[in-house]
Amino acid sequence: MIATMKNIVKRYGDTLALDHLNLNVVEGEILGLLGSNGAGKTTAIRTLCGLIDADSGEATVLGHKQSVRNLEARRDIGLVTQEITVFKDLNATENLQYFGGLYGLRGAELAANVKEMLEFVGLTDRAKKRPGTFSGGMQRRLNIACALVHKPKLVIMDEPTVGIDPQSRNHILESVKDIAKNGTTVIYTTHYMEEVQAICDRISIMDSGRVIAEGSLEELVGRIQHEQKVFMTAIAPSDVLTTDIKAISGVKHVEAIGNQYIITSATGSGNVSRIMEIAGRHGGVSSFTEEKPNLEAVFLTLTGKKLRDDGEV
Amino acid sequence: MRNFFLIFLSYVKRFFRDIKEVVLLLVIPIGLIVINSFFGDATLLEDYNIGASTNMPAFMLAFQFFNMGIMLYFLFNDFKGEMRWRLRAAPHSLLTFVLPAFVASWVFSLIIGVVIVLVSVIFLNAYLGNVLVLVVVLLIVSLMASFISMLIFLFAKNFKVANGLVYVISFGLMILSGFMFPLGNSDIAVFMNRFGTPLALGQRAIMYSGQINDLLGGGMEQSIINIGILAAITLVLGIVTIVAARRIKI
Repeated sequence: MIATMKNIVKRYGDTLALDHLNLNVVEGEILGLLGSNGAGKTTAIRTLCGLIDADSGEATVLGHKQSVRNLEARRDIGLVTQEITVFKDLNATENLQYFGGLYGLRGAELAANVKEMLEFVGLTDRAKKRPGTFSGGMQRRLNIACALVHKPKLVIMDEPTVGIDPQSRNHILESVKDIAKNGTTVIYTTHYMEEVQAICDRISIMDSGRVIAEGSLEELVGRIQHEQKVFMTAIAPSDVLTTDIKAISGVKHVEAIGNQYIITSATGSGNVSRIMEIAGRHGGVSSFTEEKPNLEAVFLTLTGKKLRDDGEV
Repeated sequence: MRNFFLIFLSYVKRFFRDIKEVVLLLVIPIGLIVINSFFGDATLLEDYNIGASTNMPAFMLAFQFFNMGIMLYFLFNDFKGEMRWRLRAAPHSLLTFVLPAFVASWVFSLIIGVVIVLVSVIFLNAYLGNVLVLVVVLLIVSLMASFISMLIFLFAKNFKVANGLVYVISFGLMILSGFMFPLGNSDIAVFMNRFGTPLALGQRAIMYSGQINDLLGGGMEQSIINIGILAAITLVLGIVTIVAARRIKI
C-alpha cells in the first residue's frame, strides 16, 4: 500500500467530518473517491496530505506517518486543489518554476520538467502568458501541471474538473490515465460518476465521513445487482401477454402502461430470452432494452442520496 | 537559502507586476510633492525648493504605510485563501514562505521610497539632507510598516478589514503629524508635529540632518535621537510581531 488511513476521526466543532475512516491506496492504481458534497472527501485528502491533523487515527503515506509537522512526508505528494491555485501574477512557466523549485528542482532538471509539463497539459504555446488570460479549462490544466512538475509518486486530485467545458474535461481525464501509466498513483475525488467510471481502477464511496463501499466498478455494481429490468414496447399489448410474462419463473413484477412494459426479474434468472419469446408469440416488440445498474444506482442504493447537489434524498 | 531566494524573488516580481498599485504608490506622493513645491518661501533655502524639500521626506515616509496594502493583499491571498492548501502541501513550514514575503515587502517599500526621493531630487530640486540619515530613516520606517502589516495580517479577519486598517493607520499618521492639515500652535500640536508619530520623527530626522536644521532649530544630534526613537519603536513592534506570529495559528 502506498497510503493508508486507519480509523481517522476529524471534527470541526460539532460536525463530524471523518467518522472512523478507513482507506487503503494501492501503489500504481487510480483510486476514485466518490461522494456527494459534504461527504468528507476534501477533509480526507487534506488529512492524507498532512495539511490538517486528525483528532484520532493514523494516516501514512509512502511509509511516513502523516501530520502537519512531518514536512518530509510531503515531498513525494502532488496536490491538485479543488480551487485553482496558481499565481495570476506569474506566467505559466514561472508558476511551474516556482512550484518545481519548492520541491528541490533546480537548473536543467527544473527546465526539462517545466517543458515536459507544459507539453503534457497542452500549454506550450501559452508558456509566457499569465493564467488570467487563460480559459477556465487552461487554468485547471496549469493547476494540474503545478502539482506534477516535481514528478510525485502520489498525486491527489480534488475535483479537478469542476466548472470546465467537456473538451477540457476529457483532456484532463486522458492526462490522468497517462500519469498512471507512468507509475504514479492517483487518488481522484469527484462527484461526477462518469469520470470515475471512465478512469478509475478502484472506487471508494464515501458518505458521512466514512467509506461505505469500495471495489472495482463491476464489484460495486454486483453488490446491488439483485434485480434486472427489461423495458419493452409491445406491438400488441394485452392482459394475456402481461399474465404470460408474470408466469415466467423469476419475474418479480410486471408494469404495463399502454404498450410500455417494465419487467423486473431476479439477477441471473436468464429471463431475457424467455420474455422475448413470449412477446414474439403475442405480436412482437418494437423496442427492447435491458437496464443494468450503474454506479449512480449503486450510490443511490448505498447512501439513499443522489450524487449531485441538485439531487435529493 | 535557495528556497528563500526563490520565494523572495517571486514576491518581488508579483509586487511590481501589480502595475496599477505601483503607479498609485508613486504617482500620488510625487504628485503631492509637486503641488507643494509651488508653495513655501523660496528665500528660506538657498539653491533648493523649500516645498519639495520639506514635503519629500513627509510623503516618502507616509507612503511606506500605504504600501502595507499591497503586502497584505498577497499575504491574504497566499496564506488565508485557497492557495494556502497548495503551499502547505509543499515540504516547507509556513515560516519558509512568510519570511521571504516579509523581506520582499520591505525591499519593495524601500524601492518605492528611493524612487520618490530620486524624482524629487532630480526633477523638483528637493534637498536631501544627510544621505546616510535619509537611508537609515527610510530603512527603519519601512521595516516598521512591514511589522505593522504582519500584525494586521495576523489579527484581521479578512483582506477588506485589513485594507481598511491600512487606510486608517496611514491617514491617521498623516493627520496626527500635521501633513494634511495644520495642527495649530498649541504645545500638543507642536509636539505631535515634531515627535508625535513615526512620520514626524522621521521627517524631522531627515530635515535636521542638513541645511534645513538652521530653520528648524534641530541638528545632527536631534536627528540621531529621532532615529533612536524610531529604531526602538520598530524593535518593540518586531518583538510583538514575532510573539504574535508564534501564538496565532494561521
